Amino acid sequence: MDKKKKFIKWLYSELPSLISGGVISEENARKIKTHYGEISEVNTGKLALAILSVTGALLIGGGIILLLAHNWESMTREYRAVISFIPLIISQILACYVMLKKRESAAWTESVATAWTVSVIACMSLICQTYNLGGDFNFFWFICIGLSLPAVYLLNSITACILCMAGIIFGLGYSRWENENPFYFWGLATATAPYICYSYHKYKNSMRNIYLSFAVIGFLTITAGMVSGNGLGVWVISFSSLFASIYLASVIIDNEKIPGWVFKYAGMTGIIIVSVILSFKTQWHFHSYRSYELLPYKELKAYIEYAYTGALLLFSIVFLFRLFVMKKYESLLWGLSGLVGVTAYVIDMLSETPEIPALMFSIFLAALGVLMLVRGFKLKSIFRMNWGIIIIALLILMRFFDSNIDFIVKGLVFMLIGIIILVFNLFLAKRIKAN
Amino acid sequence: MSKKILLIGVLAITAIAQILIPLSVISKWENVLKNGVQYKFKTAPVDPYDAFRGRYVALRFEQDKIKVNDEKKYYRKQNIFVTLDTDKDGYVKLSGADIVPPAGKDYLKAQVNWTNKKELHLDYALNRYYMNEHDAPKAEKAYWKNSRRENKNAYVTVRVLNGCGVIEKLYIDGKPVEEYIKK
Repeated sequence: MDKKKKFIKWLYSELPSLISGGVISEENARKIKTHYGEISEVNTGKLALAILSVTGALLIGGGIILLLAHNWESMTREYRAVISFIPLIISQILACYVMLKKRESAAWTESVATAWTVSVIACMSLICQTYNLGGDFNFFWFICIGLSLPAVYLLNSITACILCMAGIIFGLGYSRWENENPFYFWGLATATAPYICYSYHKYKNSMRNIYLSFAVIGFLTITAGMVSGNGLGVWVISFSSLFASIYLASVIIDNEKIPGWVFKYAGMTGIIIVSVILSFKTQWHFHSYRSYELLPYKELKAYIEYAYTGALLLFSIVFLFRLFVMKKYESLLWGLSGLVGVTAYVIDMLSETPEIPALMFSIFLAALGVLMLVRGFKLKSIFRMNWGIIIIALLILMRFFDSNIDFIVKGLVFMLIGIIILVFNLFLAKRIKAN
Repeated sequence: MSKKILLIGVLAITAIAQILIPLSVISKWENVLKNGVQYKFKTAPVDPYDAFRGRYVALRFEQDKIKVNDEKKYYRKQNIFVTLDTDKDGYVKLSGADIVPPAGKDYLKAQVNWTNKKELHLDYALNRYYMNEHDAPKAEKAYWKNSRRENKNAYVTVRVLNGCGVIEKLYIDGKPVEEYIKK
């Protein structure tokens, strides 16, 4: 990746002399630039400054919250009420200054947005403390995140966006733990979506989208776990569809560029982990829950869980269709994960034989391993071949855990597979070097 | 330029909302504290730590359950209104519960925690009394000592207005807890 980027940079630097020397026309130079696209330049100095500024803002904000948490009971209620607004008003003034004068500075926008978000939480916290407001933490947290959200849009800050996403995850988790209504937080999650789309659209190959991609993947993975952890095994469909959608989205948006490759490897890793887990027949016992009266599944909020799972499955199918239209057939197999998941789930419910869905995932994993090996050979890519070997090795090793084979035999097989992988890599490296 | 003006306008609206919403919380509770009727609730303590809202003494009320005729009408997390009265010792007494506020009487909004044998167990969302982090553990010890069956000397005063309740003070042995732990 880096070598390619260096080459493109060198090529671009050569273009003016090639044009002046009459080797290529200006039109051809423009076409070359269109073909390779922009080179993402990471200014490490600016990046370090932005990270340090955000860390500083977080520490100052955290310090303010701790100072307020001390509970200055010698002060009157009125004084404490006034004090609770001071950090907020300072942050608002700074936000106004950044919008007018420092809009292009990442260090300024990110640090002020962070301070603004933290000061909203600090203000609400001190008011709750002053008036001994307890109990309805869900609502308190919703107000805090809801009031912080405009900072994301107004200051165009991914740090504020990531903080809000973390806050929404916390709110959803708390609602689930307390068996309270999670609707507000889904509303807030929806409100962050336009900003995420805007950021991906506007800053195509920038570093900020890498951070954002990690946050989005983390958010989707954690929330998928939250909404489908109530029994009945809906998580099988949620996770297999989620990672399929993540992978397929990466292919659609071009996984050789930022942030496509983040989605690509997150999707592939997720598909492998979920498939390995579901290749164990002990995981398939969801049909046994059918006879139980699962109360949470009668409540309205359960339908959000079903809707979320259904949406993930739908996305994976739509993306799969898109890939088919784009004729990117080599990536289709990975994207089948969601469909394999839902088919295996239905078979488990109907047949009540865990061996069949477990076998389906074993076959799916084996197919992925073979595909990666074949593509690796075809493209002479050790990296791809290793993905293939690792998948197949994982599949073999996991089957050993499934069976009652002696520990000595298991140990010897583990060592043998390790040796095979090492020898295979040495052989490939030599062969590719010779070619 | 017009885009900048628009952004500043949105920022101004956000800033006003960020100040008005906490202010509305303050004015609501100030109104209850100034104009609400005072009731005394007997309590039981614990002392957890909340990273966001400082140190507090967690409260549980003795008057946290009420008999009803038709418990099937109620479900977990349902908002209800309990009618408040005072017993001969001056402590609060719950005289009724319904899903609509009673007319002409003091009442407090509560949530049904669970139902059991025609009895509703209630949560008033009045379960925290914030204190200085050094004083809260001392308060907890004093509170435990004075909340046991053989030694019930702790209560909180709560101001109630139109269903809203705000904790005013925690008392141990007839003294505000802040004063009690200093003796």
